[in-house]
Amino acid sequence: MKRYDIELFVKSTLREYTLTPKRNAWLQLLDKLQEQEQKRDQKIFFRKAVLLITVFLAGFGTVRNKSIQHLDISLVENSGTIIPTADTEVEKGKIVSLVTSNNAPTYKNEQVIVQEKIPQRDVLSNEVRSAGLDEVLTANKRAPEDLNLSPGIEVTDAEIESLMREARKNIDIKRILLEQQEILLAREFLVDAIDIEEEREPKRNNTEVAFNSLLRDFLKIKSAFAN
Amino acid sequence: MKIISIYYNERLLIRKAARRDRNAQYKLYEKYAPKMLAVCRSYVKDLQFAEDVMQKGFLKAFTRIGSFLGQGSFEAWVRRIMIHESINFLKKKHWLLYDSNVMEHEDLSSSNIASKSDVDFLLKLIDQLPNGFRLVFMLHAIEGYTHKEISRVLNIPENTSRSKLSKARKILQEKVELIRKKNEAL
Repeated sequence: MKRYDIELFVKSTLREYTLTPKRNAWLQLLDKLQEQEQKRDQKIFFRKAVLLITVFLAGFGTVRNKSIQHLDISLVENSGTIIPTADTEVEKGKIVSLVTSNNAPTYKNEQVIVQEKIPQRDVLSNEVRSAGLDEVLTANKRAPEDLNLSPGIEVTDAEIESLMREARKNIDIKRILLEQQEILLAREFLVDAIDIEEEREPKRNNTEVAFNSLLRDFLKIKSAFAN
Repeated sequence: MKIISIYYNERLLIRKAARRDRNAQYKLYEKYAPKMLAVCRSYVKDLQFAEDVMQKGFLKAFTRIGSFLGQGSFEAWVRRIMIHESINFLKKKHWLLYDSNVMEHEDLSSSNIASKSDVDFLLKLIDQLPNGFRLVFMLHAIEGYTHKEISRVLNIPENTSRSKLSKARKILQEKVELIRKKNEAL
């Protein structure tokens, strides 16, 4: 037999070679196939859910940061010229105190009030300019409960400054706390979800591990950025 | 006309199988399982393991059937999957040892050969080759892989692949010659 003949012989002989598989082989394959498809569907669903949550959190964070920026700007712009507490409304060139909360104004009230007053900010500042500082101070005196000030004492610039600083500090602290809380909640949720997924699938492929590590890194970066 | 019809039917079956149609998947399995089991058996010596490998191969084929673009035949595509699965199996089981020593197996006496078909006889001969030799020979002679492809699949240098192929050829030729002479003497 020549050198090339052996290959040709093997090839031609094995070409039509067949073996009958076991009878239950198809059923076994079917079981495995169903299992695999279920796993695949779960993976797809999980990935979609994570993506959706990430997008939602990112979007929510952006919107909230934007509103907080407005708040900061308004406080900085108006520092030293405007009253920091109580609802005020401009009416025909006068500043009138309308709503006063209980003794101590809360952070929530402050935040909501300032946000609601954003569209009126320009008008208010114009009115303040035209009315003068005395009128502003007078208006300030009309809401003494909020500031914990006695009605007979005049409010000085230094006091306003200190109150503003205090309010700003409170806002910053609250904001950081809220952000941290949110990040922690999101992280807990994701870690739980990942743990459940890991329990279901002990042997994960490299792509999933990379995806999860990316998610964790993203959260770490987000929290670091927020800090 | 008939060929076109068969081809069309298979395309349809593949499309249905991609949509998780169990009937279509079963028809494809029924059609190709015997051939694919033979392919796996020619790489994996044990029939039980060969069946496991074939199942894994079909599992992979059905889950990735969407990636079959229709260029070339479906059989060749599935066959390629089976070969890769067989090699992976051998790698995992550490059976892919590239020892150069030809193992001493049972003696292929003339009476033994005479009672078996050509295929069984050939498979027995090929099985007697060391794993590294057998795989290179099968991939080159049967599947038509180039030495470059073999070196990539088995993670060996091209020259090693060449030398193993020539050694495998030599061993097989010697054995066939020996058996032929024995048969003639009888």
